[in-house]
Amino acid sequence: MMEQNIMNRFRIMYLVGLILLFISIFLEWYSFQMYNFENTLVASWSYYFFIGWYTPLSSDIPVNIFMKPESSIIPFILHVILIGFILAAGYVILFKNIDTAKNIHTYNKCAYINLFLVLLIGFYVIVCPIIYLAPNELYFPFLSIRDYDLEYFYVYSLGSGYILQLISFPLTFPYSIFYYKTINSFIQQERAPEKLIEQKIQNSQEFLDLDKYIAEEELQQQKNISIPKDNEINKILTTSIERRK
Amino acid sequence: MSYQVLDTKLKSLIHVCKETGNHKKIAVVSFILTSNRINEIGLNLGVRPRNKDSGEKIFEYMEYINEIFVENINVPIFQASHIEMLRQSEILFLKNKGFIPLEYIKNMFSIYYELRKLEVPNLYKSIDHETLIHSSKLGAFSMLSVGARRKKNDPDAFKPLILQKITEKEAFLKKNLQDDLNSQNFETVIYLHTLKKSLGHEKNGKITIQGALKDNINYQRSLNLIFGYFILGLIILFTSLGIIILFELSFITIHAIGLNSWVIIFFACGSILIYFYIKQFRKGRF
Repeated sequence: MMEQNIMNRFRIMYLVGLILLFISIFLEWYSFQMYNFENTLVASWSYYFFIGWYTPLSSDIPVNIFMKPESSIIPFILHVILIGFILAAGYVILFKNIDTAKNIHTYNKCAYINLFLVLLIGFYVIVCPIIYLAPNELYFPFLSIRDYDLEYFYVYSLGSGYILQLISFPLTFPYSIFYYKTINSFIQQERAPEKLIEQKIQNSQEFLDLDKYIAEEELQQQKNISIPKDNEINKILTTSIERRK
Repeated sequence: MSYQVLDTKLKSLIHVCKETGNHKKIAVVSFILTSNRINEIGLNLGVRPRNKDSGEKIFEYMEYINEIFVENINVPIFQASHIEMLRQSEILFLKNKGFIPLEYIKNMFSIYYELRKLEVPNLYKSIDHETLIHSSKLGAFSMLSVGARRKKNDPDAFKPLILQKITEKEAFLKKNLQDDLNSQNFETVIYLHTLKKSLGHEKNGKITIQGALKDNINYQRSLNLIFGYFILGLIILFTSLGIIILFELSFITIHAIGLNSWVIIFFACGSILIYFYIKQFRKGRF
């Protein structure tokens, strides 16, 4: 069915999002470079989750050392939690398919894993720039500044790790929310009153206007006998309406 | 509309259609009535309604319901002869675009009235265990009911005996159900089925029918929502990115030129998506 295909596409999207998220952990998250007006790199710092600030330049360049940003940006434990949740969410997407769920209660934890992962990505993508980058004057998302007094050229930019996290957010968000909402609503549905199902039955019923059918046939019957005049049609309709009453 | 009123109207329609010779109209009505009744039975049993859009036929839907209940409690809801009769009529009805012989129309009405006699419980309601136990003389098993289980310190000691009793009773009721689908017996069979399963672990005591979630009515309907969530995710992303830069701009005004364009881009994308979301998903669907 079409709906199932759509669902599968969103599951694949989610899986792609997880893979991108996992890769992002090992890539550069933020970078800062400083050039002089001869276009020579004098300072360069990149932020990686597991090694912190890293410079490809020699450590004996004083300007480079001076320009090193504040030590660690994001708490290390958070990265470990993120990896844990990526692996758990990977297990959920591969082995706990909501389509084939029979006992919905066993999927409750899976729904929370998915939801928490999305919140965690949201934290990395939205909250971290606010609480860590901006106060350290590390500009977001990309900015180049020319300082004519000191004759330096600064380049601030988000790294490929952040970009991948940014992409993974919309990829994982729909399926996670859908998963959570579905599980939640089905657990609530178990407590649903009988009226709800009555309403569903009414909505699913095909409309059948027997009065109309009878009137149509009676009219046809009259036509077969003689071509009725307007007042005769009115009479037939009145009879039909009275019968309905 | 009550069955009495419906029957009176149906009688008038059949009478007048016989006069005009329009048998097609009676055939159409018989199919609508049967389809509605089967849908009603399906929904009461917690199954999704018939999927007309994807061309699911009435007899296929009946087979589908039977399949679920045979798998769960080994009791078919519809008789095989009815399904077969309906299959023949429906295929001919679709092939001839509504024109079927009178004999088939009669069969359709007989199936419809048989279906009306069928007593199926509403599985969405909670079972009143006490009533069920009293009316079904199942007192011996009541120690497993939620309240009673707390009183007993070691119900495990009785497990094999209880399990045997339940199985015996279940088999007896199932045999009865195959001859006559009775609402009370049906509920009791499902209750016993649940009870048997709950011997190993805690349950809330409600009727549960095992079936994949994809077959559930609410789940099918909610599939459309996933597109809405996708748009919602993008809205959250774009507006949050815009807010981050606005926050940044609040304390660095000197280099604002480069960042202004990003704010405009993010908020513009966010606004377009919000408009699209409200137009497509907010009205009616949610």
